[in-house]
Amino acid sequence: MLRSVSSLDEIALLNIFLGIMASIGLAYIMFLLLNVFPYFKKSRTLMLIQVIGGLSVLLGIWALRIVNYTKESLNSVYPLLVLAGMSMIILPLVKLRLFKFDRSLILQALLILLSLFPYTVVHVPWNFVPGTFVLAAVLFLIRFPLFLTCLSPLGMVLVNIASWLWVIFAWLRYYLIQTPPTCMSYALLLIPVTSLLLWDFSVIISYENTRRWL
Amino acid sequence: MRIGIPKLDELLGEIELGSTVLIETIGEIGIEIAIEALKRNKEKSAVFLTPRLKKRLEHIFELGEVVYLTLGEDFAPQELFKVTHALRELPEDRFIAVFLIQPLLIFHPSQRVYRFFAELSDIANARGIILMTMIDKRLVDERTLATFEESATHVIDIVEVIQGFKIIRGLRIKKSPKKISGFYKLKIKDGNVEVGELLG
Repeated sequence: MLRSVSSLDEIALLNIFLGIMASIGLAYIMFLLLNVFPYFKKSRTLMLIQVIGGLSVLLGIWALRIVNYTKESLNSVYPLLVLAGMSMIILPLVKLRLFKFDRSLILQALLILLSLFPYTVVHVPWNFVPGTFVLAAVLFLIRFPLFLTCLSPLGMVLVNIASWLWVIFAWLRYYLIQTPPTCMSYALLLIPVTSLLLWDFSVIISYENTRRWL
Repeated sequence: MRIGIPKLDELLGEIELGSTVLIETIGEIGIEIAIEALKRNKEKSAVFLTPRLKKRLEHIFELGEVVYLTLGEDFAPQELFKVTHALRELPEDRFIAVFLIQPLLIFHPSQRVYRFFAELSDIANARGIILMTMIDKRLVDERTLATFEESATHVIDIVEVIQGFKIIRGLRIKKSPKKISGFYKLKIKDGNVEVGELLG
């Protein structure tokens, strides 16, 4: 059932804002890759796979935002769209050796997956399980600018902060299920908002630097 | 060899054959210095560059005779051996501008790009070629920058300082067999480079 929308619904606004932030970051990652890919031979198919992957992630993220807001029962297609899309973005990068599974990435991804642990003891909606995998998948995109030397040392620090904030959010998101939303819920939503803002800033700078030099 | 910018030539002196000149800059500021050197030595110049920069240089009438070797067209980022091979095949006594270091840092780890740069520098030294290249110092850490400086014989350092509402650009000779210098005012207008008075 659709939740009734009040004239000022902060959770809805924050959800829209999160969706917009994620979409901007994703779009700039795609623009950045469109700068990089023409330098590789026979890269057109890989580029096409990535564009389809990008659109799939975008569709999935917005569907999940809407589901998150309307509290409709989660269709398992939406997280799958994000995960499949993310694989379509990352696998060509791995093939071209532009993506590295470094220690920090593996540690952070593991920590996000371990955030499922409270799920086993606390009663929370089942959509937290696919949601965890979506959070882990988004982490891969957040850390991607670190694998190309297109950020200043400060930019790299910002990406690291963004990725750790993402991990913290994965562990604290259980507080978000409180209804009606409490002050804590709003404060918690500021964590992914800050993380995505830092990520967007870093990705835009990365794109500008690759565009200048390539 | 001389670059063709009077004050800079005075600061650098005659650049010996086999030298490697590294321009440490912010973004692309100072690319005009390399372009000026290419114009002055156009009959014996070659450039390793990206397609975007090639489009820009092709519009400069004075660079008609320059040989271009383009990343993504003549060689892929993974085919660095093609660049070193091409450098070995070029006749001696050449001026080569390599606008590849920063683009390659996007595709490769900095250690690999440094080894590539060191190899280019060695080839240039052995074959009497003058090599000029650029690096965006904002995008590399100080340690990486220092390793690149070590393989260069001359280092030109470009800075940009904001004072009030004015942007002041400066240039100094950071490394040279002759002597190092303080910061001099750098003016770039319509592609023309002018090195002015000593900054305080």
